[in-house]
Amino acid sequence: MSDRALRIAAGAVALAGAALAAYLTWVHYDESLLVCVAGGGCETVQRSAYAEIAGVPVALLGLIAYSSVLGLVAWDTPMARLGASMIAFLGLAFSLYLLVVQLFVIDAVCTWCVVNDVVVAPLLAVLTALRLRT
Amino acid sequence: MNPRPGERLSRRTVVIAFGIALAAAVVLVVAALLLRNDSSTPAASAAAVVDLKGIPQSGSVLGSPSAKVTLIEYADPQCPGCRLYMETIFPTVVDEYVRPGKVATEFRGFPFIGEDSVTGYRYLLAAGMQDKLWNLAVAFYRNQGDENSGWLTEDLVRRLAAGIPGLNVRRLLSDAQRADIVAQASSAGAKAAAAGITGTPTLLVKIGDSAPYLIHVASVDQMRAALDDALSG
Repeated sequence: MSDRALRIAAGAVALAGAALAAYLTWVHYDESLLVCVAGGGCETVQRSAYAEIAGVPVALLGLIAYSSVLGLVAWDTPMARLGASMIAFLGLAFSLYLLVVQLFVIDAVCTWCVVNDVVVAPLLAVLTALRLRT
Repeated sequence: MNPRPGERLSRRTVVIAFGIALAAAVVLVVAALLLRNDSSTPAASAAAVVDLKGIPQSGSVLGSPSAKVTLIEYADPQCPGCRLYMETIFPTVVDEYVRPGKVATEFRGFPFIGEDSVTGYRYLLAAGMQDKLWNLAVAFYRNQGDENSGWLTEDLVRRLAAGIPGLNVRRLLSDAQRADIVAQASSAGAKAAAAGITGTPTLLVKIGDSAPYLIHVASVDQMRAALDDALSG
């Protein structure tokens, strides 16, 4: 895979992650907007004690992280690539924590959160890490 | 100075960077656990939320184990009178008597209204196994539905329990199905009736190890008088 293709893919995944995080941030403040296929899962997750850190919605942190990666992908210096990969790796680790919390502590699963935790965050981590090799 | 585009980063730089990222991830997870939103309870009732944070709980008892006086409440999760007590008198009991360690309060189930009453009490007993019975009781009353309307669903319990810091929801739901919990909740009505309880909320005061006596309170001031009397006795 060419570096250009990796860059486009990383940018697209970061954009998707930002859109997802923006949506979850939005519904965090207005739960009537939540669309979820699992029975009450998203509402449970969004209302749980783990949905915020010191009053800041976790989804908002995700939005900031994805936006940062998007900016670094656009900047595209070696240090920017490293920075993007570091943030993506950090995001992946935190996503794994959130997945564990959903499955084993809250015992409720928010579909959109899982899409982020299982698909978007790992994919972005892999893509940004691959770019360090080119 | 940053490398220019096209230059490769050294392996050492990458390793250090990922070490920093890993450390940051650990810090973030620890911060997430320590700084989680302790007040994220669902807002249903307009009444102020009773703050139980920092008050010891053991099973069905809220308050210091060395409290001189114990206020016993027989209650039904579906009883509107119990909700009213929880919203109007209970906050004063907590703030002025339980938190300072003067009085402990014990929840005893009298689930007589209907099926949801027994179901609710099962969850409360299960929460008591994690010393969170009172947190869940407060959440139930804040979100109480019409009697026997089927409002006390597992989904509601999941949602409310998820807002209680330190309460393991999976374990709660599992414990609520335990044979001993089911038996205890099912027999609670008959047991309370045998003890002479006829309605809810029924309040009794116990001083030390003496036999509890019934009190009739309909206001905060009457509760203060009853508890002050017990404490001075």
